[in-house]
Amino acid sequence: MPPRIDFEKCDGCGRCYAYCPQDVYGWDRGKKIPTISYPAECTECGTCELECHMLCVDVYLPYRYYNQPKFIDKKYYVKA
Amino acid sequence: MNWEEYLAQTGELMEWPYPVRYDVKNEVAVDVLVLGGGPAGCMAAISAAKKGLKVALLDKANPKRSGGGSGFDHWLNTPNPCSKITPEDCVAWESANNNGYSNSLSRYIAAREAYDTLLEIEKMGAKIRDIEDEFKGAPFRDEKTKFLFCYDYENRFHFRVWGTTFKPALFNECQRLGVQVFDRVVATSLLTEGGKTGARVVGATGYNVRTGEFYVFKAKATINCMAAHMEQWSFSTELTGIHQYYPNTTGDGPAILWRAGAELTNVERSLPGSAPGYSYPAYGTGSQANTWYPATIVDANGKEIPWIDSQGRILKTLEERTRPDPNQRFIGERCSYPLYSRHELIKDLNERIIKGEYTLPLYADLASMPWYERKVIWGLMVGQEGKTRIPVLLGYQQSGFDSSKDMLQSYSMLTGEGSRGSNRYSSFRRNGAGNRGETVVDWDMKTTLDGLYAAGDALFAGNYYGHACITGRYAGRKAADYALKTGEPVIDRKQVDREKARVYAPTKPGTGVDWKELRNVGARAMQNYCGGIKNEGLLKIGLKWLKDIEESVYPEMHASNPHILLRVLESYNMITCDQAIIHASLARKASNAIYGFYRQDYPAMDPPEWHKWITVKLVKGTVKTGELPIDFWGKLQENYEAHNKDYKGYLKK
Repeated sequence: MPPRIDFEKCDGCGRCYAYCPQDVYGWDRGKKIPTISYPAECTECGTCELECHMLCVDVYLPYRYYNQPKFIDKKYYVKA
Repeated sequence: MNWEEYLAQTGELMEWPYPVRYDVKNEVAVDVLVLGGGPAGCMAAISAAKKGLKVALLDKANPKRSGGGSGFDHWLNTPNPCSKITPEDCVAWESANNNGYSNSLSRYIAAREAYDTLLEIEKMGAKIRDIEDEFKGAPFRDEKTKFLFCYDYENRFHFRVWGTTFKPALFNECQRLGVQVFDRVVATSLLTEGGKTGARVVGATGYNVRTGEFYVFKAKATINCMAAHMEQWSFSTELTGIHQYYPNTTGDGPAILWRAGAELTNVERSLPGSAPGYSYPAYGTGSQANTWYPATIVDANGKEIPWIDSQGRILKTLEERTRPDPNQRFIGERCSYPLYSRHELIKDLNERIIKGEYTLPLYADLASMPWYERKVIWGLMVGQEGKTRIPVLLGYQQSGFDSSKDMLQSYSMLTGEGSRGSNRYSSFRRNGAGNRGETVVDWDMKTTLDGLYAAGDALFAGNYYGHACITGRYAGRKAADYALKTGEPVIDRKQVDREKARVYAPTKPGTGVDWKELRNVGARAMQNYCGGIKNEGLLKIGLKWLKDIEESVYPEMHASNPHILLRVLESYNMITCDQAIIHASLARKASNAIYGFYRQDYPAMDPPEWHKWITVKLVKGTVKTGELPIDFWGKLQENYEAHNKDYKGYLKK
């Protein structure tokens, strides 16, 4: 599942693009923001989210794992 | 120049789409060349640089976060001041667990130097102790050293560490020591004396996976830290086409070594896996596996699933899960051999679910566990392991999950069988889990080629983050010693030209077949003809398929940019590894339980005369198979001492 970036918070440091182990990111020099160039090759390792100092990158597992935060509610876990 | 240097010098980020410069050739000469910038590669580079040598480090991504770079949870098999466990113990359980098919040589070296390496990495900036006293009073914490332990709280030789801090620390140390880091440069071949297979290794070629520039590295010593072959049998029917677990490890290491004539072993090992596209998140969401151990598992009505010890006795308390039972010496990690096995849930859980005794789904009940277990499992293990930190821990927390109140549904245990799959004869294989490496080495971590060393997951039947760091450190100093006394290497220009032509061939217009199709057909060949049930006829058909793929499908590949070129070349390396696997499978004329290896034409399971390693290599273009005795490394302590007379550390002052 490709990462989601909040471009309003992004300051164009380029770390996500520098450190991605799968080379998922490209770089828009004009706008100074990352581009998701190979979204299908993201394997959700979380490096970009770890490296982002503006906390604007979110990494989620693909829908087939069905643990997106919006789905995780009482149906999928129960109060002990 | 690498990303950091470019930014520091120009104040700008490199542009994208990258200007493609296939015509540019760079020549670099160093003393020690390290291929692969994971934990083994970084430690090898550091080790060689500390001896004052000129070192270059290549990585197809960026060494700051490559190779389990987003975190890991445990550092294993470490004799230390809190423990009475010896290096011999560490070797013994791995060997027993694998019926001897374990790299006792590298595991002994790793156990001897584990504590020294851990302290060195701490000095580089990694966090290995509970310095904030988050777990004060927990039974797995040593109050004096503030070390945290896992799995066996009595024998205390497997550490829990803050794995997210390790890789950046190693990377910073590489830079501090002046290692030339070539990020986004993948190694494509080894260069040998006279351009001949089997000759001394004098360097490597590579290319930049973003700009396409070609690199020729000349080196007195080269170290292969590119891990092992991976996921020959699986393709994803979904978007990625890449395996999720070790996605960047595509067998470049063994393929490059194979083509240069180095000897490989342990290649024919595999395990049953799940059908492509059906996998669950690596390490799951609540199970009995290592990251979650010893989580309490309950059914949908809150009924606890019992844990049993090595003799099948029900464990009455949580504490018993983290101590060896009276019949055991200590607990190994991921071990099923009774003397050292980790405790587990009842073995007939699946049947009892079918009979209705337990109701699905099952949950990890962290809320009912003591605060220190809950915090160390959810906060530290799941939180530091790269594959679970963000996708599982942070994702669930964002939804409001509170581990002190809520239970966590376990996907991988939906049938009670666990995540590994029960059909041992299934076509859908996966590589031999932890012990899938294949490079044959000696007590200097030297391969069968002069000038070439290996470390980490590349080592035959070796595995684990700690093992990678320690063997990298070891191979680095051995390669450095060799470089200090060996003659100047000479590059064969014709070999370079041949390799350059091979690398860039897919950049010419093709028929538009996608690289994922190439991966899929390779995986299909392996599923069909090197699956759970083998015989000579099937294996030979497999070789024919792979040859057809190499000669007819591969030339149709077209890479429209350097990134896609990397995927194409990786796919070719996977086909090369497939061929090595089938040759080794043909040579092993007996079945082998630990190898997940069943031959219809040789059904005898583990006959004593076949308790040995099968080796394969290329000699003048022909495949030669051979064998090594199961314990060919000889006496462990004697050999280690003889090869490391000047080494001083925790176990040898």
